[in-house]
Amino acid sequence: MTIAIVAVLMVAVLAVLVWLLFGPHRIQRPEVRPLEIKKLLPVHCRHFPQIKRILGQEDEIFLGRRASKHTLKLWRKERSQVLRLYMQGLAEDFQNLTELARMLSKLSPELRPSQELELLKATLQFHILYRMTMLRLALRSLPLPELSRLTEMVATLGFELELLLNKMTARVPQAGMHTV
Amino acid sequence: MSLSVFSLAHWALSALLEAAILVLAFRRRLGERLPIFVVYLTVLVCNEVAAFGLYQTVGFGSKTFLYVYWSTQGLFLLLRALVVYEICRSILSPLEGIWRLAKPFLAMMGCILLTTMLVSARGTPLNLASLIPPGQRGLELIIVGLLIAGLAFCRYYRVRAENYVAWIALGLGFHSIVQATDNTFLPWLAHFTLWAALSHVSFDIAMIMWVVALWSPLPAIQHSRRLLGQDEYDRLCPQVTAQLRELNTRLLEMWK
Repeated sequence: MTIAIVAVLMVAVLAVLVWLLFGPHRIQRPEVRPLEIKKLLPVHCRHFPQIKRILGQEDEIFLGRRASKHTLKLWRKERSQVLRLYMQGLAEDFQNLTELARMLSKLSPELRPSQELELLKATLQFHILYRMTMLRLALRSLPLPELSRLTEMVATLGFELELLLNKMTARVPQAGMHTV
Repeated sequence: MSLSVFSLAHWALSALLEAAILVLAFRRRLGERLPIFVVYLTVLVCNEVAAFGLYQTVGFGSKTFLYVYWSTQGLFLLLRALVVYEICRSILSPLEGIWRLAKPFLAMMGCILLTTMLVSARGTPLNLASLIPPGQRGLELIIVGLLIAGLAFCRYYRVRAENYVAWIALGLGFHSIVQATDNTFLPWLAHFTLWAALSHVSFDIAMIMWVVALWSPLPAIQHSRRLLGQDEYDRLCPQVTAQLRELNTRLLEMWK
């Protein structure tokens, strides 16, 4: 039994090694060129106020009084679809932001370990929360706190990276101002 | 005690393959990229010649042969660990910041694995036969652990290893994984011939991987992008901005 466990473990380690060396890397988006990295900043999280509204009880109560059961069922189905699309959008935003952060790290001659660890932690947290929220959505529950936390995570990371980018690009015109 | 004809033939073939890889490495000028790996290959070939001479003189079963064999195995383990470091450096060092971050992480990882190995080997009787299997297994696992940690860094930052580096790393990792497994199984199986056969076969497969790595010409060396210092930027930016403004003014005059 122990021999089998050790053998399976070693095969798994070998598989990890092969994947790390030859596994496909995520293809970078072709539409984002080096000078257009601001395209990677989040866009979907800006629609959270609308999403928050459809998660509220008012619309459902209103429709429950006025519309037929069939229409209400259809409306719930479409709401769930909208939420799912919003979640996918958030995941895309977060993915773009982490790509941007890595791009900046690659260019940086000095990295702060705490900052990198923070990003790794945020990535793990986001993915766990994302899966849990998707599960809740599949179970026909309305995950407002989770959605707002996910949106907050994307917005915060986006804000921090935008600040960093502005700080980096601000140097060029400042330097120009000295001479003229 | 002398070896069988089959073992001698295998030994000769392995030595020839090692020599062929060394020749390939020199032809591809691998020394400019992975010097420690070339040193490792050179030591391997020299060792085969010396080991054969020793076998002819003192025989396979003598204590001298045993001590020399295990001493050279220790040296090879050390060299393989250094090659792993060299591989991580060759992939990550063009990205200055990431390499600076990875170095202490890998050192820490090595220390943790070494401590784990020493703790797990506590209580082992102090004789060569009892110490070698857990010792070798622990050191091979350190090599695999460091290789995987370094490669995980590369993947996290989307840094791709050149194909030849990947094959060399796979050969090293594969051999270390099989060696570690082999040494774990030895106390249960208690079959020296099987243990030795597994070890040799894994090394032969690793060598085939190295042949694959060096078979085609290596890609041109890509020098790392070195950023200018802050002073240089401060000096150049105003000049470039002034020139661009001048060009802009001229273009505007032409349009008038």
